[in-house]
Amino acid sequence: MVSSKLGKHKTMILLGVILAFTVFQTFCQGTQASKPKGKTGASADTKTNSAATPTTPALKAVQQKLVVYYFYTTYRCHSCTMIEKLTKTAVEAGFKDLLASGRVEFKGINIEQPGNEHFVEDYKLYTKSVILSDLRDGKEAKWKNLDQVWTLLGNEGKFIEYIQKEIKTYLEG
Amino acid sequence: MESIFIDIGAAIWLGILTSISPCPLATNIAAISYVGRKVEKTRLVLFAGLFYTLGRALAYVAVAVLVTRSLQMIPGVSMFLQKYMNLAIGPLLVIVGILLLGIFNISFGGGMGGNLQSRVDKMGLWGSGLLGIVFALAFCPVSAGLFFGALIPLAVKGNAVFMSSLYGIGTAVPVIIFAIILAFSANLIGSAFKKLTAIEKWVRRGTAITMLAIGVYLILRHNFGLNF
Repeated sequence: MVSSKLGKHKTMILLGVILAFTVFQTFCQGTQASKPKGKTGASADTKTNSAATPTTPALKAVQQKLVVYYFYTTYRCHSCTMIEKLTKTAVEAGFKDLLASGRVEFKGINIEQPGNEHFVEDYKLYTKSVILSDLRDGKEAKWKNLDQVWTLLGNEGKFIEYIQKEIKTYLEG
Repeated sequence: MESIFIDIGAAIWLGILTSISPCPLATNIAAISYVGRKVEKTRLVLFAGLFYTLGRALAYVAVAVLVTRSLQMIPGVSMFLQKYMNLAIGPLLVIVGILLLGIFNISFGGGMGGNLQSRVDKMGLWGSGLLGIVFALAFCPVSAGLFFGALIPLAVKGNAVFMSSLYGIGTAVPVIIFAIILAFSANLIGSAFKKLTAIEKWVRRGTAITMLAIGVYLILRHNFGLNF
């Protein structure tokens, strides 16, 4: 009887601790910014900063730049790292010269890193996403969410083809 | 007319695509384990699978109805569910695992009757339904990508309730298949060796340990941010 009571108290304490832990965790996640922990290149860049190229409109033609963003969070899953890897491969394999000249740029950004939260609102992000951003004289003229990356993830060839085709369309447009 | 069938097929396929991705693997194993734990009663396993499927479908219908009313809500709803539901499922599985293991006894006084362990165990069908709802709402990047990015456009074009139900059914397919296999094979082996009661006992313990292990794994991943 005593052991049953003891067991009862033990369980109640255990359940209490688990519940308190969950509430605490949830509260902490809601009030604190996540620790930066991702790619080293994913700094707290903003859209304006990334596109800040010196321009002199009176002398030069419009400076164009296409940024291929991969937005991720601190929590990385297998599919998410795969999307990043394949997108990077697609850009590097298909647009080597344009990457070297700076006309095309690939950027991986952790949206949970302080200063990057605005990207969620800017691009209406609902999960890890690949976004094409067309910059003209440092200002974003248009952007596109390549939302088919999730359905094409199982087929590397088609995935890379899709990314390259979308980039080409943007470069021509 | 033809496009309706294409959309129906696409909705189910998107669900299956979600379920077979590595992302929900841990919760799928937990669900198979929970749904199939009454291996001695094949019918009960089948109904548990059905309730789990209905739970998932219900959760997706609720989210689809909400976001199709205002597509502007998609980023907020998706990010909220991905962040907070995943923080909750680890501790929830640990609690269910502990209670199913029956190490501790919690008795309710008065007219409540039974202890918490047997009450959780007896939740059976409703428990499976609840598990379906919770697991569906704990969106991972893949399910968020496919649901909000591919299924919702179909739901906007067609019928949100119908399309999201089909998606929910699709996401439960592996769990249903494995639970059925588990139930029938355990039943056959148990009957052949006349050891169904022993199998049942071990399956129940296995379920509890699986739930505990997956709960701890999810806590480490989502609550502590460990990537492994």
